[in-house]
Amino acid sequence: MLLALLYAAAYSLGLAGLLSTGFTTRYWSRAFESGEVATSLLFSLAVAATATVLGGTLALAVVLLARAKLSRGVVADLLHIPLALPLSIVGFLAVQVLGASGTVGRLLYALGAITAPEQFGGAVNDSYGIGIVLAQLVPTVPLLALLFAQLYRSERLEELGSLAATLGASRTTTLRRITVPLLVRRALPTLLLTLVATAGAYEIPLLVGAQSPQMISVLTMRKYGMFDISQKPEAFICAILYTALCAGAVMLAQRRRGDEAA
Amino acid sequence: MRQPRTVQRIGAVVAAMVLAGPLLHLALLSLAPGWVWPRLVPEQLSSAGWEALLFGGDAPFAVLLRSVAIAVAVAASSTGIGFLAARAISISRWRRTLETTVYLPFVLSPVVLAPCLHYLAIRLGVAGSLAGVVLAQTIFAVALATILLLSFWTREQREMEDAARMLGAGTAEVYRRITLPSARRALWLALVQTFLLSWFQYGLTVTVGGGTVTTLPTLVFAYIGEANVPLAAAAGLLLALPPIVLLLVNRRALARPI
Repeated sequence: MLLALLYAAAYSLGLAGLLSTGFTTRYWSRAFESGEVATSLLFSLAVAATATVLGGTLALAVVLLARAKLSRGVVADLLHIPLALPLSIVGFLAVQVLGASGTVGRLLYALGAITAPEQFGGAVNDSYGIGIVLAQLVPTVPLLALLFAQLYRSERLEELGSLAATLGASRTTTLRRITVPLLVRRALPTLLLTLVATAGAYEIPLLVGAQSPQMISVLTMRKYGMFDISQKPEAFICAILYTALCAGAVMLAQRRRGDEAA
Repeated sequence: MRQPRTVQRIGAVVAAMVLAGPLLHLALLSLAPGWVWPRLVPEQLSSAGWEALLFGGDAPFAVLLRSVAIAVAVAASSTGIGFLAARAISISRWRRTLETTVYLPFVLSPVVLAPCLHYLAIRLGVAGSLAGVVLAQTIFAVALATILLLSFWTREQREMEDAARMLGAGTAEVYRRITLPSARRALWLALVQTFLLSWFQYGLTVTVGGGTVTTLPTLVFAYIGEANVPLAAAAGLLLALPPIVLLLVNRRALARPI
């Protein structure tokens, strides 16, 4: 992997590959001047952050409302189904449900809210990434719900809650001061890793995302697959920038985990 | 701090509907070739999509077998390498640094790095081949296997092996009688997770396989590209079935934080 990354760096600096004409920074300058790569990175981070925060909040709500059902029984089994769904299928289903003539549009028609698919317009292929966020929630919510449920047990929050109640704390106070802060703090490293993994997601943004802006993975593959080989260095620049971002996030997550352990 | 029973029941019913919904919708789509707007339910159900998938011209069984073969090869090789790598990391004095390094390929998107790995496959002469796809996927799967197996190599485990050696057991005997029996659960978990990592892989397979190595995920994408909804849904169900079974079997292990 290090070899592959070194090659990517060399290619982007004109030192290797079909375009090698000696050291140059023009591909890097071009990538930043056009703004496409920077926009894609920022868009990927914004979509990933929204999906992680929204997914985390929903997962927290599920755990606080129905945690007893998450450890065993039908709901516990069903919770694993979205995790087992390939992301290509999640993207495909998102188009079928959220597309202009999808299930939501049909429901709105049945309710008399619309008379033609165009009036709904759908929530896919939009430039705000709403469709991507909604589709990403399908694997994110169960994954984080399982994590929070496990942390709830390992941190003995049931006992802490009872203790707080004995000392006179109301349920809201216990939730606000003990349960939620503890769960979020302990889950922070995993939330951070979930965020960078979501930022690099491919199948869902490919099927549900808009032509512009594109998530970093889709942009990388588009630049790499183009007939115009002068675009290839930008694909490698995308890969290098994304790797640097991931490396930063992993180091931060590991440091945080180390602090928690200490 | 207990929730009222009714609230928990309502939450459970809503959760069950939301969680089972995607799979049921997929099954319905695979059986509804002419599901036109604005109908909420299909006019008629047909098994044409399934028949085309299972007995059509795309040799689905060959694709299925290829997907299984790739996933098994990736799972077996990465679990073996990961087992030894995790041991080496656990006794290293640079454990923290090495752990951080191993986490990187685990978090990185295989697709973003696919162009870089494609070059590596070209140089090794395995681009566009099954071996190239297995190699590229194994790079990411080794990281996952190593992370999963790191927790197995505790000080107690190493002390148990040392005790066996002190009592006269050779390296092979220690592995056969002590290490492997106690690692069985961890190894199974790593095998399952790396199998799934490979089973789901699309972008890396397409790039390194150069479009010539067809797997179940690439077949699903091809049907989606053709806007053949029943075939895509049927192939999607076929793709989702083994992971669902494997994850349900291993759900207790999965509940641990990453």
